[in-house]
Amino acid sequence: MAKAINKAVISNVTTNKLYPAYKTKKGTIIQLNSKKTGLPTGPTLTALVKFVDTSGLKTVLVTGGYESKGHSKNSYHGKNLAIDVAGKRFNKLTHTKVRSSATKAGFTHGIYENFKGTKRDHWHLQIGAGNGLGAKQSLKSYAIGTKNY
Amino acid sequence: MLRALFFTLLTLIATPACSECALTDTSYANSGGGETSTTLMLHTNNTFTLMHKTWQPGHYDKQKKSISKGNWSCNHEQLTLKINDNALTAKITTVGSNPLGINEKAKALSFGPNTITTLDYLANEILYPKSLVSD
Repeated sequence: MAKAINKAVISNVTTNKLYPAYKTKKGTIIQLNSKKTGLPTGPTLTALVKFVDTSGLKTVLVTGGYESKGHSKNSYHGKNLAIDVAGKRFNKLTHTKVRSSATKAGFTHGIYENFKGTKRDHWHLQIGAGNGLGAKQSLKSYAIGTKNY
Repeated sequence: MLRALFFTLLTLIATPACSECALTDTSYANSGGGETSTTLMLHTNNTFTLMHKTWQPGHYDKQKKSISKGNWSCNHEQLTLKINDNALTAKITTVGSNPLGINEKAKALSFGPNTITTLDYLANEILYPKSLVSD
């Protein structure tokens, strides 16, 4: 998504225009899965940068961000308050690590959607409760739950 | 001379329109990793079925589904989808180096930022041959 980026926070390191990529000041690559995936802005971009910088990975594949179109009504993606992080097949992360990094970064609620036998698995992380995520998905109170399909 | 003309005409007649089309598959899907799913089926009679699913995080079982149908045509590296009087195009593009582990030589459908209102979820979308993203 062609948006002005906050160069104080990240720089554009895209090599294939179909797959935008950004580098944080600490050197972590935020690799988007598509030009459809919108880079968050403002506090959510700050949270994303903190998340990837504390993830322990050099590159984090992000599959959802600030998208105004295509999501369900009231989606936190459309409100610039959510990200999707590609699942364990792409990002070698554990629920514990994701919870720890996400909480430090400012995300408050999350869930892992596990589409068995596919590449669609992902962590959904958002700021604030709502749109399907409530107290039981609070990152502060509970381990990240997995919803299997 | 007549013989050469005959073979030239025969070659032209025998070359179907689809040979000018860079499509490699009839079934396409987005790469996933979020709470949306888009699939496109291109039928042999030049009609298509486009399905878009959305759900709240953790509630795939309560997904909302929309299905759109229309006609498709293809010219070299361009696919056109027509619904009623509206048309939408996608570029048939070789994906190249990518973070999804998809064969670099695979040809995907890359939609631009401008789309028609009823299909706004296709803006900037990339649809891959379904066989490459379904496992």
